[in-house]
Amino acid sequence: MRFFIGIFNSIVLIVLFAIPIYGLEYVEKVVGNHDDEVLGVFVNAKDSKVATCSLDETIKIWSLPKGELICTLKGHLGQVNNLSFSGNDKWLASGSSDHTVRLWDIDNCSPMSILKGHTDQVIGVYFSQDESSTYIASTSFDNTVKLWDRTLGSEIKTLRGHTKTTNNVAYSYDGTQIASCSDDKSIRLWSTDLTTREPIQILYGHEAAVLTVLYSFDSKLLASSDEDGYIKIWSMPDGQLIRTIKAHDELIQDLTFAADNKTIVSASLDKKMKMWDVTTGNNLYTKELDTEIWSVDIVSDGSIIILGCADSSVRFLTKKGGKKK
Amino acid sequence: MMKIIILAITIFIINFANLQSQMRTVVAVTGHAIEAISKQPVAVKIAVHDNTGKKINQVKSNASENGYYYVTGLFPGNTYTFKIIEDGYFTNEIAVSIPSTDKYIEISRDFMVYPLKKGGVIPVAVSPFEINKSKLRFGSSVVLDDIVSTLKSNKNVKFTIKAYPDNNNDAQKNQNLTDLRAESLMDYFIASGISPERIAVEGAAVTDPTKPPPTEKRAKGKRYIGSAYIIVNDF
Repeated sequence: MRFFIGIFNSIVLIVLFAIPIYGLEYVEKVVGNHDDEVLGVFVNAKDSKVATCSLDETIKIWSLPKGELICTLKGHLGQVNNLSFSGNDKWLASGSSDHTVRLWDIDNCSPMSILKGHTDQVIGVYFSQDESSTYIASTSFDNTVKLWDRTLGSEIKTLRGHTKTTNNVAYSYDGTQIASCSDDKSIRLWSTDLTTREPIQILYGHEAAVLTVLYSFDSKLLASSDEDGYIKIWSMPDGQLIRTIKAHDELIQDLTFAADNKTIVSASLDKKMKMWDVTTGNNLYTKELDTEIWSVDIVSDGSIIILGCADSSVRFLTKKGGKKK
Repeated sequence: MMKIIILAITIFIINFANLQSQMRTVVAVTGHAIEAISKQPVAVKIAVHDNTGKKINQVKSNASENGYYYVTGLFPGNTYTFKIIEDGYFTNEIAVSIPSTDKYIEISRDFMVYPLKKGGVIPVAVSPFEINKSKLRFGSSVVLDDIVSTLKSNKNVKFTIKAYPDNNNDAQKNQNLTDLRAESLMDYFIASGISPERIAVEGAAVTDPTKPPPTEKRAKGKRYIGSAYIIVNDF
């Protein structure tokens, strides 16, 4: 009997301590739907808009924090795999199975240009996050990473080396590096200068296809996730592996950093969204949904998490007692 | 004295214009020539023509260096035609627009080359159809015009358009759908100036065995629409 009382007391103590420490609770709401699975989510720098893309070949722009649909962008001739706001919030880049990267004017909800050059489906796309937002990086089933100049409307550099499909790409916020990840289980770090075509560094450690890479806002960390449900945290720029987290039971298609540079949020096909402290590897919060999750992003103060789901829904998780904008 | 000054100024102006012309910004185009089916690098001749049709340069891609080529001396704001000419491959003409710039830049452009042999194929890289539909979708000319250009540059090639279905649910429905899809493509090619005598059509009742519907959980590449090919019958 004492044993059971002891167990009970331990549980009570954990609950009493854990809630004040983490104090996290989010309320789930479906704010709208695409006509098919939602593959990508990206919040703009001002936290005023979130863009989503889908198997239905469209992009939708939603207001934050309300979640009202602002417009739907059509034009791609295939599923839209990924998207990224420019650092100055004026433009959006999208990558599609139609082999193109397209640029969109966000203020007018209108197409700007079509960047042709990849010879297979475009999987990842990332705008440079500086004020000029001149460059866009993209990855593709053609195994390459391409760098585009928005002002020229042209491809300016092709980076080769991955031996299998390149899955996703990220620009460091200090503008010095691009990271790409691949089915070849590696992460390659590339210089953003226009002449260097060899990788600065190749990061090995994942034992499955690496699906996503993302820099922290201070560019000191790189997070990556893979098909086996692992997250790895690497210090930048030295590329040292800091931490490995077995985060999910299914593949993790997307990750996002919170503005504190130490909290990441992961989304998985195991229907769970999880929040992690990368300094300790502790799971801060878990939310289980009734559907698989493809994509995730978070506003900078952490008050809203946006999820792109396999049931076509776009869901907001709003922090209880969170700051309203 | 005045005459000497005027003469000096005139000479200066003439030379300045000449110097400016010599110092005109040039742009380089670099990239790789890749065989479209095997995805292997290939060595092909690439002739560059200006907008008057005059050949201004010719280079050869280096198969041992991933099919790398480099063309320089191109002027900003101009559009050039890059002609790929090599025995055993489709001749292809690709328009390359050089962006306006006032400084030296290199832009990147990869070229896919297609083997020219009986049974050789040009895939319609992006499906011009929506799921379970046979009508060409709005915007598909972006994809099809590249193929039309290739077929026009290779006038002796006779070919079959082969279309595949999106699933294996109903063979008879699939056959009807893909017959119509192949005919839609044929109609587009004829309307674009390809002689109907060069074209045969063929639908398929089952999905493309070389590119079957995806079975992975991955989202990317999940939306499956049946492939279509141009298959060389004779050339």
